[in-house]
Amino acid sequence: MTEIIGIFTGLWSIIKGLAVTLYNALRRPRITVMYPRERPEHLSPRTRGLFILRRDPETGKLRCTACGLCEKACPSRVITIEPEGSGKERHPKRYTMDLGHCLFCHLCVEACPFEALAMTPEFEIAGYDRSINILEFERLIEAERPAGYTQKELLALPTEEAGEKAPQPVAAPAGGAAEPPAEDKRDD
Amino acid sequence: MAASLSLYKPAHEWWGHRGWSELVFQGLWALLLAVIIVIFMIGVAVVVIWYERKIAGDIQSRIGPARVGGRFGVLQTLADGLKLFFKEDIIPNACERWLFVIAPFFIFVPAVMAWVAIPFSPSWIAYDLDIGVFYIVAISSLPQLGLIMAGWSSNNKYALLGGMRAVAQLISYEIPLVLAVLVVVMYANSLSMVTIVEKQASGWFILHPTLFIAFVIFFICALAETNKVPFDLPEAESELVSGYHVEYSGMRFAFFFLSEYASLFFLCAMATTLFLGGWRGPLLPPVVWFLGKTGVLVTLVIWIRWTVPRLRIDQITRFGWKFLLPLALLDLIVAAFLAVGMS
Repeated sequence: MTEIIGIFTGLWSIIKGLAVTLYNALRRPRITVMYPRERPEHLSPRTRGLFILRRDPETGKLRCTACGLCEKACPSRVITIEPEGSGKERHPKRYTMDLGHCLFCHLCVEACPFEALAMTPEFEIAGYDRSINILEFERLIEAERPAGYTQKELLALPTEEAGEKAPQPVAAPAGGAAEPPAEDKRDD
Repeated sequence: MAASLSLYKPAHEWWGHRGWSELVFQGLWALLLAVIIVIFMIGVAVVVIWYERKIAGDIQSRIGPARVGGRFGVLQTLADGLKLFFKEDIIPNACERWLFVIAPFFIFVPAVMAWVAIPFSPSWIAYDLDIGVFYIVAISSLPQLGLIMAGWSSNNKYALLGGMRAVAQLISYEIPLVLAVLVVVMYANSLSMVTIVEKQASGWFILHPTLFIAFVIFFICALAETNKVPFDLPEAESELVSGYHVEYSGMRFAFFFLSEYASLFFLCAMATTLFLGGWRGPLLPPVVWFLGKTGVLVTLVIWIRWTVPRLRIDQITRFGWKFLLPLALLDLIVAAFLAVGMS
């Protein structure tokens, strides 16, 4: 008898399962984004993409004090810092990241006591040359990206000498990253 | 001669006017039918595989094949199949060479042969056998031989376990399947597939209560016969890598794969013929009705496949022997009394 009851409860549970899969089959939009043709419209601000060095919004100065904690926190020795000045004036002269062996583990960002280093949702940082992995100081500084530019146009903008005073838009947040190779309408 | 594809008669007359040999005509006709069936079968398998991948994508909120052959990836299976045909055909050193080589064909050939007796429309049947049902049941138990051959000859523990499980499962579920078919045969009073469809003129067989139970039994057994989830133990990936065809590659693997999907479509076509009134339906041409009903059943199978988890082997055999078989027998007895009462 329990066997037969079990059969019917099993049948009922199968029907419930079928309802769940039917609901999911009819649900739109789907999760997949057909990448080169479509792009993710809204990535989470916590996405671990390209790094930036942030500025203080009030003074416009870099937050980084070249304390070297991020350099120590990095398990792959991506970061190299050359400090300049001392005391309150201490700041990085050169700040280089070789993303060629970066894990995007976020440990450097967590190590920073001044929240000077951050990650952005910018993910198209691949290219055809290893040299583009090496991010120099200028490319890392937070840029107020001019709106309305495509990736290509942004890259074509003249790179400014990034001083500490001018909070001017610095071009090429993508570290000179080339276009994704499949950007053109190659597919179908 | 009961060959009744609608072209048969004019072709036969045309050949007769030339005064050519009757024997040669029959041979050529049989060859033509065989070629048509093989092409149809491969085409069906290709479409069903694509369809399954699309539905699986839907159910998992993915898209599925979307690149080859337009936006919907219609030609994806064709591309995959073509790739498989160009792959190296690896035959392991330690295998039973002869059995290993012929095993895929032992599965593929019966899958083709069974199509002979399926009526697509009143005139579209390769050969209207008087014992069509019996023929199909006999033919469709042949692939089990191929499974055990593949499993044994691979000389691989996974393949052997998969083959053993496959045969144990197929034999367990073959019996209730045949009993369910027998109920239909009793009502239709015939073993010919065409006659069975014609008997459903007054109403599909599935509308009778006893035949409805028979349909449910047939459907469950069809899932088990085609190794579909929840009965996919012979190829349980997490336990057996991929079951009896672990060692196969290239073209031989493609044969296993094609026959699996062709037999899925075939069993759905058979359920359509036996229970859902075959080609019968208003307005649209009979072939469309037939393929449409079969397509609905195939959708149901795929839907179930991507919903439920896999059973254990003891659960499968217990369900088969202790529930399905007695239920089928009981249904058969009740149906027998009812059938006698009707006549």
